[in-house]
Amino acid sequence: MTTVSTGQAGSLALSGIVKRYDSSPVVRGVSFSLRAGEVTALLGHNGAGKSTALKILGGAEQPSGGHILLDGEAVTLTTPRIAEAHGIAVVWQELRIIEKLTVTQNFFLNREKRRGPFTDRTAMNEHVRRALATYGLAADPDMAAGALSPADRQMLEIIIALDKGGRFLLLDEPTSALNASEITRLLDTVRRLAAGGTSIAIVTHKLGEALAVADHVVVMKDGDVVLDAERADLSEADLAYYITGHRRDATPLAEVSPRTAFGGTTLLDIRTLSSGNCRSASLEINAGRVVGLYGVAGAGQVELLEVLFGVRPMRGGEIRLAGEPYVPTTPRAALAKGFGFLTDDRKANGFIPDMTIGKNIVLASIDRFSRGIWFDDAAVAEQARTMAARLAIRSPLGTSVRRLSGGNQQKVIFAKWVTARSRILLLAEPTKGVDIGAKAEIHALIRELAAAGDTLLVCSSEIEEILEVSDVIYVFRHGICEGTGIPRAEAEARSILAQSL
Amino acid sequence: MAKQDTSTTASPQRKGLRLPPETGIFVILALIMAGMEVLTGNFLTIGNISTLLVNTITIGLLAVSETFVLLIGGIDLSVGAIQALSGVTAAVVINHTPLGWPGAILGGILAGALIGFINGSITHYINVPAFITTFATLGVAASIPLIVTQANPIPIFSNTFNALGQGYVLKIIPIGVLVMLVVAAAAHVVLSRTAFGVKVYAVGGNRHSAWLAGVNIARIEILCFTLSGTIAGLAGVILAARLASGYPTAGSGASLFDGIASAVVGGVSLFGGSGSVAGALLGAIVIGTLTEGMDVLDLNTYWQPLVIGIVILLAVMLDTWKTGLLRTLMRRLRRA
Repeated sequence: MTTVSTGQAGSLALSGIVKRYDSSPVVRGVSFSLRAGEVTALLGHNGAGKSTALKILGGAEQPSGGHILLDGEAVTLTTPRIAEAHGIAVVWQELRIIEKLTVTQNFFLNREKRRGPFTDRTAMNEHVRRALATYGLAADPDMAAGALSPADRQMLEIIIALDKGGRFLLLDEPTSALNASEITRLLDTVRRLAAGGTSIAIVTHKLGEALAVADHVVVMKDGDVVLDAERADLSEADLAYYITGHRRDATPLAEVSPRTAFGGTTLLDIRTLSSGNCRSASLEINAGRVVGLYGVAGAGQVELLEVLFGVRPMRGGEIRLAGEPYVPTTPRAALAKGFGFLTDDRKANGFIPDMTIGKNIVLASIDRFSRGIWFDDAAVAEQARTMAARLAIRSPLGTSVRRLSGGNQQKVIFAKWVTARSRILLLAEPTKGVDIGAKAEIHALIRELAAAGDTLLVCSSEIEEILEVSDVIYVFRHGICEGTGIPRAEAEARSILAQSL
Repeated sequence: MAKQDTSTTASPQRKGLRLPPETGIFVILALIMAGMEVLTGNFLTIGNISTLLVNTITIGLLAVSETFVLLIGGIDLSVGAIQALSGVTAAVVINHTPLGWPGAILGGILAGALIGFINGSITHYINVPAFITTFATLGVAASIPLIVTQANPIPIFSNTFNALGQGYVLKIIPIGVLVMLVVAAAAHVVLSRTAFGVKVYAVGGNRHSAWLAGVNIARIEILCFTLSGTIAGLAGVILAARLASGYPTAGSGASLFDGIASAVVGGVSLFGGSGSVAGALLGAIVIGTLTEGMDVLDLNTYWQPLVIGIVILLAVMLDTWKTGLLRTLMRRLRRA
C-alpha cells in the first residue's frame, strides 16, 4: 500500500518521523514524500497529526525522531527561515499578512531591498508589480494589505512564498475561508504551479477538493499514515473510510427522511429586509424546517442572520415572528424571543476561551442555572454531562474550550443554544474548520433538532452541505433574495450555483 | 460513533497534580518571608507581622478593587484619589452633621461608590477607554477635597470612628485588618461562586461572545467599576480613621500603583478574564512584606522602590512565562 521513494532529486520526504509532546506521541513513525511537479493532499481527522507533520516539514517544529530528506539528503530544519532557505515555504491557515502594512512591505518583510542605508522602495514596488502580474493578482503595491479580501491575501502569501524561491509549497487548510469561485481560482493556481515544477502539499478536510486537485493522496489517522496512494485509484468513499474508519452512508439524508418543504405555520416572515450587504431579502419560513441560505461571500445571507439576532441594525423592510412585528435590538432581546446564533468565527466570538466546557454550555442560561445569586455548579455539571453525551463532545468537561478541536468547539456552541432552549437557530458556516467525522455529526444534529420542532437557518458556502441538511433552499445573489425558495427534492447543485452568481 | 479524540490523550493536564494558579504567588511570598527572616533574624515577630498587616490594609483593599475592574479588561486609576475624597467626606460628615460615625463611614463609602458609578457609566456608554475615564476622575476626586479643605487636614475626634483604623479585636487583631480580610473573602466568594462572578469572567474572557450570549454587559461593567470605587472608599475611610483626620492628599503616593501591581503580581491578567482575589491579596501581602522587610533591614528608602520594581517585574515575567509556555503547548497540541 505504501510506496515511499525518498531518494529522488526534487523530493522532500519524511522518513520515520516521530513527534512526542511530553511523552505523548502525536506522530508515530510517518514516512511519505512530496515529489516535484506533484500535488499531494494530506488528509486526516482532527488530531491525526497532519498539521504537526506539516509543521515539521516547514521547520516550525522539531521531530522527536526520524529524518527529513531533501533530494535524498538528510537536513535539519531548525527554524522556518532555514526551511525557507531550502526552498520550503508554508502558507498557514491563520494568515501571516500584516493588515496595516502595504502589499510591498508585507512582500519584502525582513528581506527589504536596500540602496545604501535606505530601503529601495522603487525597486521593491517594481518587483511586486511584476510578481502580481505574473500570478494574476489585481492589487496595488502601495495599498494596505488589509484592504485585500481574505482570498487575495492568501494568494499574496502564496506569491510571497514562491518569490522566496519556494520549490515546495505547503498549504494548511487553504480553502476554509474562501467561497466557491475563489476556491476554483486557488485550485487552478495550484495545478498551474505544479505543472511548472513546484511540489505542493495541501492539508485539507475537504475530500472533494483533494480529489479535484491532487495527484497523490496521503491519509493520516491517529499519528500513522494509513494510506499513501495515487489519486487515480481512489474514490471519495475510499478516503472517508480511511479517515474515519467507517463506511460513509451513501444515501443522502434528505431521501432517508423525506419531509415536505411547505405546509405548516409561517413562523418567520421576512419582507424586503435590508442592512449592509443584504439589500433586499424576502423569505417565508415555517416552523420545524431547515432553511438553507446559499450565496457567495458578501451576498448578504450572513447579514440577514445578524439582523435577526440583533447584532446588526435593520435598515429597511420588516420582520414578523409568529405574526407579531419583530424588531431585534440586541442579542439579549433576540435570545429572549427564542433565537440562537452560531457565528462563522467561533475563535473571535463563539465562546469564552479560558472557561470550562460546562460554563460555556450554560453561558446563555446563567440565570436558570443559579439558585438566587449563587451559581449552581452541580446543575451545570449535570447539564454539561447530558449535552456532552447527546452531542458526542469528546473531552474531559473541565477542559478550557480553547483547547478543544474545531468540531468539539462547534458542538459546545450548539449545546449552549440547546441549553438556552432556542427554538430558532441561526447557523453561519456551522462546519467551517471541522473535521469530517464531526461534520457528519453536526449535520445529523441539525436534522435531529428540526425533527424535534426547532427551526434552523443555515448559511453555508458549501453547496453539498446546503443540499445535505436543508428542507428548502434560498439563494442570495448580490444582496437580493426573493421568491418562494426551492424545496430540497427539486434542488440541483448546478442550478443553485448558477443562480448565485 | 464514539471514537476517542486523540487530542485529549496528549493533553498534559491529565498528568500530575493540578495546583491552583495562586500557588505560584504563595510560594514567592513564602520565599520572601523566609528570606527576610534569614536576613534579619527577627522578622517574623508578632509586632512586625502586625505592623505589616496594618500597612497592607490599604494596598490589600485597593488590590481587591482593581481585581474587579481588571477582570473585565479595564483599569481604575482613580482609586488612590478616592481615598482622599472619602476620607475628607467622612471627616466633614462627622464634624459638621449630626449623623455621627455611622454617617461618616457610610458617607465616605458612598463617595467612592459614586465615583465608581461615574467611571463605569462613562466607560460603557460613551465608550471612553477606562484608562482615560479613571484618569480624569482621579483629577476630580483629588481636587474636591483640596478645594473643600484648602489643603488643611480635618481632624476627627470621634474615638469610635478612629477605632476602625486604630482599634483591635481580641486585643491583637487590628480591626482594619479584619475588615480587609472580610471584604477580600466576600469579594472572592462573589467572583468565584455567584452567577455575577461567572458573567464577570465571561465579559473579561471574550466580551463579544458574552454579548452574543445575552449577558448584560452594561450592568456587569458598571457594577464592577462601582464596586471598585466602593472598596476604595472604604480604604479611604479606614485610612482617615488610622490618621484620625481627613487628609486631602491621601492616596496621592504609590498606593494606586501598588494596588494595581499587587493584583498583577497575584496573577490577575491585565487583559482581563483571569485571576482571582486570593491571588491579588497574596500579591498585596508580598509587596507589603517587602516594604516592611526593607524597613526592618534599615534599607535606604531610596532603594526601596527599586527593589519592589524588580520583584514586580520578576513575578510578572514568571507568570507570563508559565502561561506563555502553557499556551504555546496547547496551541501546538490543538493543531496536531
